[in-house]
Amino acid sequence: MFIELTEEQHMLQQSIRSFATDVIRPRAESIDQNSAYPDDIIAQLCELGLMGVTIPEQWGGSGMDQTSYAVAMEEVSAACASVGVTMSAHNSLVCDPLLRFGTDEQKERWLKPLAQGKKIGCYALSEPGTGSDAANQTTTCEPDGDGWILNGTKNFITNGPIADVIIVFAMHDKSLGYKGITAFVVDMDHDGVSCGAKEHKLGIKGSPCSSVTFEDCRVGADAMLGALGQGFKVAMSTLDGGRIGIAAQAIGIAREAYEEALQYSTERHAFGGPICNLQAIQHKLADMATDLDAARLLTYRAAALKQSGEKYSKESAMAKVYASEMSTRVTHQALQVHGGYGYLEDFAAARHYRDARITEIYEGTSEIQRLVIAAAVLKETAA
Amino acid sequence: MDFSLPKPITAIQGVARDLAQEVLRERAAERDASETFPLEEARMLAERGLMGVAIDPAYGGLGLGKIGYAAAIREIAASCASTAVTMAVTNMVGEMIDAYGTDAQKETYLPLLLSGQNPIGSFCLSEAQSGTDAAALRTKAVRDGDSYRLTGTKMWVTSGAHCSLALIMARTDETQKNRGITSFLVDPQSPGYSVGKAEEKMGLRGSNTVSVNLDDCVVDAGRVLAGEGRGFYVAMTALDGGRIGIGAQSLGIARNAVEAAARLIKNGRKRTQSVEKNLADAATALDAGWLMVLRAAYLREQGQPMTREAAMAKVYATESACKAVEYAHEIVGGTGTTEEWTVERAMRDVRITRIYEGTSEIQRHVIARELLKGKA
Repeated sequence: MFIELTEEQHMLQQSIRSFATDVIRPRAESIDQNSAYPDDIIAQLCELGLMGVTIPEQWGGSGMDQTSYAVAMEEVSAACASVGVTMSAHNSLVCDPLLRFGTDEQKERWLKPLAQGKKIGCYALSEPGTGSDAANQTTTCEPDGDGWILNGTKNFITNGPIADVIIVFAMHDKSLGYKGITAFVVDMDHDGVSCGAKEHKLGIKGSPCSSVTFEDCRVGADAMLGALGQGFKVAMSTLDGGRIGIAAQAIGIAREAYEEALQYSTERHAFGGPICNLQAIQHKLADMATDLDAARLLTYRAAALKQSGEKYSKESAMAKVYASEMSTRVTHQALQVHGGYGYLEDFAAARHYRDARITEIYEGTSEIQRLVIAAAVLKETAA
Repeated sequence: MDFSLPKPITAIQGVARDLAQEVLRERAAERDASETFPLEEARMLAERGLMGVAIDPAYGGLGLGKIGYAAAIREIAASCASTAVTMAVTNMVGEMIDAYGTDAQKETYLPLLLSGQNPIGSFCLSEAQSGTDAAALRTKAVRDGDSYRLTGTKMWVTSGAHCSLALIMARTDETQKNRGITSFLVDPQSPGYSVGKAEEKMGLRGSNTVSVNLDDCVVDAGRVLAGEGRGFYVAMTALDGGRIGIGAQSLGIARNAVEAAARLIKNGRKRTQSVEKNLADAATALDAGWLMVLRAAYLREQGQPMTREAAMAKVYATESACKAVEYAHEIVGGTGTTEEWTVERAMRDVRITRIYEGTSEIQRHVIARELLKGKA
């Protein structure tokens, strides 16, 4: 039993926090206001080894543990949620499945440059008509000699417009249901791959997101990630890990909002003193801090289980649904502490409120997490 | 990070679970209905070391710390919340003797709680006019030669009519507030110690709750714990640790309700998405609550500051437990099954955990005070 950060994890936290404070946070407002992808910041994340956090050094990564990844995600996301999701999608959704399912050739060719941060990755599961119901894929892969021809459109692709590499899921036999799905890894500049226009979003505006279309895109057999028909397993197991990243992102956003509210409550005066003297505000702050800690513990637990190689699907679903909904609650209350000023874009409270909302939706909605949890609980229950 | 329990603690958890499921569970509903005090059950707990889980083995305890205690009481509470609260207060009083008593006091008084016919302790702090504002207590202790004379009335005393030892906070100095309070280890057989009629409660109906009337009750000076003027400190330390235990207790009560609801689904209750949502939220609330309890217990074991974390664990675990029981209640509804009555009892039992050993409001006050330290 060990419920605190190790010395190393603590040092990592401090170093990312100081980088985030010096480099990322001062830019967060303009990134949001201009919907501007900060490629120079991402380049610096690469130098810090944050684009392949848990990937072994052999494959170009930093070889850190899953808790370190959660710590890093929280720190980066606290400074800028958009940078956080770029990092999360790249690490959790692209590097991680390449490590777990890739052949050595695939790791050499794709994982290494991704983990080194020389390339950016994206993950394409959702389609215009298929989100939570991911088994119902319409993108197809047809055999063509020793390769495959991909056709279909994916949407809500985080990092789509800036990515060099995409992991895409396609169906070769609809009658097999989810067992007819296969994963492929494809270069974004490959013939037949094109990106749609950047989406205009409520929050995380500095994270470019678009549809990606495959039109008679022919890939070789070496592009298949995992075995034929194993795509759904690749997709779901990847999201199990991704949920830790998103939970940590949600915690980062909420922590920033909470800390600003705490600070503001000591500066804003009403009824003859700072509002932090008022019980109504004190109890809000206490609830926000408690909620944050609960989410963080759930997230660290999921990370520790993933690290030890145990089953962690239920636990990461709990972390994701709890942390994301906590983030909505905490950013809501943080804005409330600021009163009318919180509603102005002059303060960051409004941005946090907008940024938090997506965490309840992507990488599995809250509703999907609850299905996962309930199924796991019932499986554990003796009749 | 490693949230798994160490081996000796999973062992005592197993001992507690066996006793809870094989013995306590069977008559829990009956104890509740007939308001029967779990005296036999308390003896069984003592036989297994469960009345002194965190107490020094040199004095007959198990020496398994706050983590061991939290793990054990959660199991007991899952079968019988009334037995669990009896256990909680006994452990708390014992821990205070272990922490602040002289060797002679430990040798004399700990065996009363850890073995014997009435291995049960009581903690007398609250009064009719002072609950959350504990330092406002009015019970007086006046020095008289080698002894003190205690006069006043204590309220909400758990096990007050059945204990073999009562830890009583009384005022020895009228000119001071916190520092004017002293704690006494009182023999309930002493002349001048009497109890009022048992309170009729909404939950924990098998546990005994009485007022304790002290009418010129003579207590030997050798029964002062931690020295004159240190009683408030003793009480607050007890409650700091107690918060972890109450958090664990609440989660045990709720887990039983959630398991009952899950069983009902498993055995054919229609599994709608709404039912699944309630089950998922209940399970998540229980897990998050338990992690908060474990963290506070872990920090205490490490000797690290944990005032904020203990308060968070108490308010968070107890409120999560209440929510979890409500979710379970939504699932079972009016089914007329055993599961329904299990959840019904849990709902009544769990509510008090948000009130005793520091209300949710006082926990929030403590948390906010810690958060604002050095800022305001």
